[in-house]
Amino acid sequence: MEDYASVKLRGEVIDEGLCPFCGGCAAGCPYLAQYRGRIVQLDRCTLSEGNCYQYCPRTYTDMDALSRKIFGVPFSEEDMGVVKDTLLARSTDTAITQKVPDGGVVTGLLSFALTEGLIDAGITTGMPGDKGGGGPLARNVVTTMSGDGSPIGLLARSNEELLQCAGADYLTARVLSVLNSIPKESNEKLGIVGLPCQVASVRKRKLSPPQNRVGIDNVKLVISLFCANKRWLEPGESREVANKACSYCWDWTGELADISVGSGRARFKDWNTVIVRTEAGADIISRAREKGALEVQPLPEESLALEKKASLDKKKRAIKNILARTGDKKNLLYFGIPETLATRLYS
Amino acid sequence: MAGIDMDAPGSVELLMGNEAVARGALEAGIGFAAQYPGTPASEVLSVLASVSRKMNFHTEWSANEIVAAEAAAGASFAGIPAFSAMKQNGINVISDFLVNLGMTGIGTGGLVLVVGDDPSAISSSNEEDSRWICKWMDIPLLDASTAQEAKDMVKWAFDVSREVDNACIVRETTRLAHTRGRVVLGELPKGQKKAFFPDVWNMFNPTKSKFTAGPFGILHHNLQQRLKKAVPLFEASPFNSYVGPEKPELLIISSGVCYLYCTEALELLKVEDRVGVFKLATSWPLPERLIQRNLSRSKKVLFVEEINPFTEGNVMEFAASLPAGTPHVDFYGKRTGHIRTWGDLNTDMVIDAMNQILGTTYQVGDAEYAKGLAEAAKMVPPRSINLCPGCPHRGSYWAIKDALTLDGRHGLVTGDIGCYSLGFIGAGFFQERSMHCMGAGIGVANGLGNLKEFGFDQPVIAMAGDSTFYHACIPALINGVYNRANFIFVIVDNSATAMTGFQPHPGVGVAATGEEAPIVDMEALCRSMGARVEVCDPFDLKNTTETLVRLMAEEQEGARVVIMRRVCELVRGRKEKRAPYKMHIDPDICAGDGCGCNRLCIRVFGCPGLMWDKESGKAEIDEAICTGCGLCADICPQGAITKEAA
Repeated sequence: MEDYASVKLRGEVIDEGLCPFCGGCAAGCPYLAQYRGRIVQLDRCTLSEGNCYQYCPRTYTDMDALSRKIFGVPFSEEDMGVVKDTLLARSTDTAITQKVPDGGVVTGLLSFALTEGLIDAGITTGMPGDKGGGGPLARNVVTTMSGDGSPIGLLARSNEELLQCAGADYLTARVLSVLNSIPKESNEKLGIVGLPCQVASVRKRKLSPPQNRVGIDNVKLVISLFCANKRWLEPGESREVANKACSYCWDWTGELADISVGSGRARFKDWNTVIVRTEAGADIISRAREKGALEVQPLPEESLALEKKASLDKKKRAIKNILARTGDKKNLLYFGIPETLATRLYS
Repeated sequence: MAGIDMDAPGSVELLMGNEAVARGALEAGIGFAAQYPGTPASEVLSVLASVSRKMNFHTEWSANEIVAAEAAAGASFAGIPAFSAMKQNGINVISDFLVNLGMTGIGTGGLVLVVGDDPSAISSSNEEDSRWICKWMDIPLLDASTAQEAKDMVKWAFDVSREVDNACIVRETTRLAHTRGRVVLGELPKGQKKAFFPDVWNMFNPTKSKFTAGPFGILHHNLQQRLKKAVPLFEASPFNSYVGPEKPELLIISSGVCYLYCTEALELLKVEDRVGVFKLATSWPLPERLIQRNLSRSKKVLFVEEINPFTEGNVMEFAASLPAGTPHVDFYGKRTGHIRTWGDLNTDMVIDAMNQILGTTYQVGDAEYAKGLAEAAKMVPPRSINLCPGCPHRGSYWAIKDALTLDGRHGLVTGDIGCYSLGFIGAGFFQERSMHCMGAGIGVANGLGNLKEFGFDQPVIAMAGDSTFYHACIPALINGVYNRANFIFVIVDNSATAMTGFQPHPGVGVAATGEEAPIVDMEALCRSMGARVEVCDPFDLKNTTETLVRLMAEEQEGARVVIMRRVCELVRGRKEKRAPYKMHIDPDICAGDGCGCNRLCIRVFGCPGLMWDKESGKAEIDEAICTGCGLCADICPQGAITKEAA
């Protein structure tokens, strides 16, 4: 078989049913398109070193190397990964909170970061029709194609634009396409919101920086949404269908983000559960609190325990499903941790 | 020359084979010429149409070959000398009519059909040898070798036609049709004939007044008797000739352009005193006495003709019937492997055959020259056949490719005959999966589109050009609607019969003479059949792709039509004489070989107007070739290619 990156990606991930449809490969690639719950290869690419393969969260990922790169520490054995702080929070901006089902922390934080000049643009999701799609994308014809029912990625440079995105469903959107549509010479500071797989794809760019795309160091803030299971809209149907590939996903909270945001669950349904992981994350949270953009309260022990359990359960389930597939304890597919560690922590 | 209608008998002019054919028709006094364009015969009607108003006769680009032949026959029924030319495929299209026409006769006008064969399929999908139809249908056949002969034969063919009361076929091949040669002009007839369809039952010659193909038994016998009338004409015809010693060591029998290869080979080999050449230009029916006389010259006979052993077989068949005691002759040709049975021939091939038979040792080609040629060939960059820069089909195929890939059910394109036939190679992104004759794309789709019971769910896109649509697709579309065949019929409408030289067709509003003509509305026609019709611009890639994706995803079955309309760039360029856009590539933005591009514009899109600068590793616009169509700006992943209104 040809040793092309796109061929390997198809062989190892897509055809194997492991693709979480994060869009990390198709983003900015003129050969791949994210379309109706599939990654489609439109033309033959002959590159053996391809970002599609490198940035896929389901190709082999050295978790320890990645953790050292982002957090400066080895792979965390904690249930929820590297954690600096946990809390409950909500936005104080009623324009935001009346649009969202929970505390509006994601939009609130992006809005605050924009206002304070911590970022120049936020990349988040919206439904088609909110605003034009991702700009001069590679394969702009296809990636902005409407009518496949899935949400699109949006670039917001103002609070007004941000508000239009608030409350969009957590479906897999093309936030990574938007990231890649930004001119490579741009100096804009960026904030990006994604699901754990998308965050992983963003973070893998740290390990091998992109050449023809915007510099990964422009990304100043990475917010992950908690993810129980990813969904997309099936063509021609309005019901949401689970992606079976997500049963191999280990990440409940988005452990590679600066900040992870989930719902406050039934008990705090107007609040968000927030996990702070990096200095950058801690910095923006404390500033937002100081300036009154965020209202916070401690996360009760019981709530924390629930999230920890959910995190560990998801890892255990993923490892179990992966092993059922490979039948080899040494082969954890993409999840690059030592076999001994996996056995000790997650079996 | 001043014009094909130049009234200067005896004047010597340089004419292309097809012009000579047209001149021959004029000298025969034709009143009616109808044709569908087809290389190599396309230019014939263009030339005739350029003088038809002035000389007061009718010319038309017909919707297809059979209509052209039938129309010409109609004129002949009414006493008007009529003419049609076609490429080899055309003879198949008209064959059903032709087999019946032989039964009824052609009236008093005279009917000559010129068939341009294309050995090596230089501009065809096949290299059919059309001569067989003459034997099969009892039609006299003349095979022209030079422009002069083409002119003279066409003129004489009208006499033959009237003598046998049937069409007479004159065959040319690509090498003759498109080569210029010296022609001595003849006289142009004066005066106008009156057209009248005979209304009196003539019991002595029913075929001259009643053109119904029946009762076939009598008529078929009658046809065979009529064909025999050509034999004495052929026995005496000056088109047949013998050049060489009285008793040559080897007799070559040839005709058409091959005759020229033979005489040249003799000269190069310096064997004119050992070898004679018998040109049998009246190929069917055989002038048997002439053949017998020539066969008796030598004990060795070599047949030199292109493609099939037509004359070889006929002459050997005749030789087998010669009385006992006739000296034995060794026959060489295709049966013995001395002459190949495919592709066009050349002088070298004839020399090779003669070297084997005569033991001569002439070295074909110059070794030094061949070496130089091989060196030079290395300097030429490898290039595939491609669509022109600015060609609308590039946009159509791009959209089709993307739509079929997005759909993801292994959809396919059943192709047809036209520039877009190149869809089977990189020019059309390898999308075309079948390609046969005109109309076959939608015909095949009718089959594929009705296999649901067998689990077939691959989308089928049948493709045809605008001229092909009028020519051969309408019954198949009717069939698709009627039988609920599930396919999308894409008509790539570039408002011309582009591949054969931009001849007009029923959809463009211009007649063969250049005068205004009614437009047969393609959309209205399709709608009237009950097909849903959508129209899009193939350079609007987004809309075109979306349209196809949407139609493929529909549950609704049956034939649906998408007209991808944009005028042929060569037609537009000639008319507007300026590019719509000035294209520019920003080398700082171009990603070249890098990830996120991998030379998409050069390697995949492949417009000849784009080039690759090896040194900088960036794409560039080839100003000399780019037509400024703007399409590449829409496929550049980086947005490095920009267009600016020119």
